[in-house]
Amino acid sequence: MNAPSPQSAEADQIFRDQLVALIPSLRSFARGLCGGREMADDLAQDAMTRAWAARASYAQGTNFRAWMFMILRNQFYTTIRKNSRMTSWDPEVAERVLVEAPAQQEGIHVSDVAKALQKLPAEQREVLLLIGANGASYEEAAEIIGCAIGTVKSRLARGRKALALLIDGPDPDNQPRAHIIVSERGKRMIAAE
Amino acid sequence: MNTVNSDYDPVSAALKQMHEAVASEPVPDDFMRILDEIDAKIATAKSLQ
Repeated sequence: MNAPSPQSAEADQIFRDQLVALIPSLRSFARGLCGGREMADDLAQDAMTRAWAARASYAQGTNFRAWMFMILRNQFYTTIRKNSRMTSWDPEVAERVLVEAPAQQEGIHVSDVAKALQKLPAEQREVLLLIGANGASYEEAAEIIGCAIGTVKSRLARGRKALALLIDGPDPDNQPRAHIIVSERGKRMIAAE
Repeated sequence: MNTVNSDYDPVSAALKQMHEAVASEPVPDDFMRILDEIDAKIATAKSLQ
């Protein structure tokens, strides 16, 4: 945060406003990557601080979200190399999501999806989070991860299949069986797209 | 209760609901402190222009 800025105060203000607007998404992406709330918020704050220090390297008008997510993701992988605890599940989140979900009849709650997500390899989890949760395109996800679009697609397909297997167990017909209960709010979010 | 129809993707719906649950939380004070530091630097920069 102490790096001198070659930018104008106006450019810094624009950068700051973009950063503020992205905080909810940064926290969400970090939570999905880390599992735990405290570690995720530390990660998001670290990414914000690093982004501010490196703001001169951001080209205004380009994809700010992709640039920020790239910083956060890189910091995540740097951190998990030092700290293996970052894959724990946050029970506080599970409880709240369950409250939003309808009464369970047949099927699986959103909290089960969240738990299963933490069991996936990070490279599959991040693609599911970027595309499935944050609505990133294949192209944007590839830019954030730094890989080919085809790689994103294959990781997404493998991640979705692994997620369904973790949730439902093996299907005798070798077909994923995702019977997930989602609240009316969740369905409206999908329908609005 | 919602039933899953042919054009409905329950995995995407679950992921989006997880995202929305976190994104709708109040932003913790720690984030505000970072922004306050940024605001102070911007104010200093403006005063020097």
